[in-house]
Amino acid sequence: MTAYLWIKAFHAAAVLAWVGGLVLLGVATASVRFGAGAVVLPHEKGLVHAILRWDRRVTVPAMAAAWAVGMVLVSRGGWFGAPWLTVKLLVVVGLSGLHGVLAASLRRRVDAPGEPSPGWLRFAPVLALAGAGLVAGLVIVKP
Amino acid sequence: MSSQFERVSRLRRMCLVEAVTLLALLFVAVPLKHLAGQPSAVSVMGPVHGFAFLALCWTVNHAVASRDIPARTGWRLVFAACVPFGGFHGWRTLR
Repeated sequence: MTAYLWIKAFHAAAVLAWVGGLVLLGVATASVRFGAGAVVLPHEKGLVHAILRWDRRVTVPAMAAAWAVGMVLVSRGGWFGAPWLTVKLLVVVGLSGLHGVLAASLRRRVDAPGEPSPGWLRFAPVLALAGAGLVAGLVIVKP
Repeated sequence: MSSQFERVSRLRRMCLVEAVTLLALLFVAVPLKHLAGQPSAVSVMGPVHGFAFLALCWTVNHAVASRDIPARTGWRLVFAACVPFGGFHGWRTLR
């Protein structure tokens, strides 16, 4: 039982790091916009590169750890087939997809300034927080 | 920051890893379980392959969003990863 709780604590820590990084990416993607032909200043480029570096070194490994440890928890806890888990998995797949799209879009903002990007990316931080909130509710209430 | 070449090379490696874990699951772990009565190999290789598949899907999604590969190629890679030896097809496609 103690080992299960430690694994659960590690999973929660990884999820916190992942969601924190996801919100950071979302805010950066929603805020950093360069018009067609705009000159990207060195400090703007540096800031975006720092965020992408953080994503590569912290957020992506945190997401991988959350997935891996989550699968261990599901198998040890015998939760497979529970309706709340199915919904949670769908939300987590959506958050993982959002993560990839945000990281790629932020890089393209610097690599190809002025290139049109989907308008819904403005709502990315809200989507990330809504997804994380839904997951927290499902895990704690287990409806 | 990583270049497009590095990102596509990473995707190729992911295809290879996914293909190898699927083959190890199907041709080593499953026969061990059903012919030798050792289910432990499946309980190890199952999650390993599941994780490799998820990682491949995430990398494909990232590559498509980065416009490193077309969306059509991304779907082909994911579908190919579902069948044995399909990952090797993906590995060759991205060469």
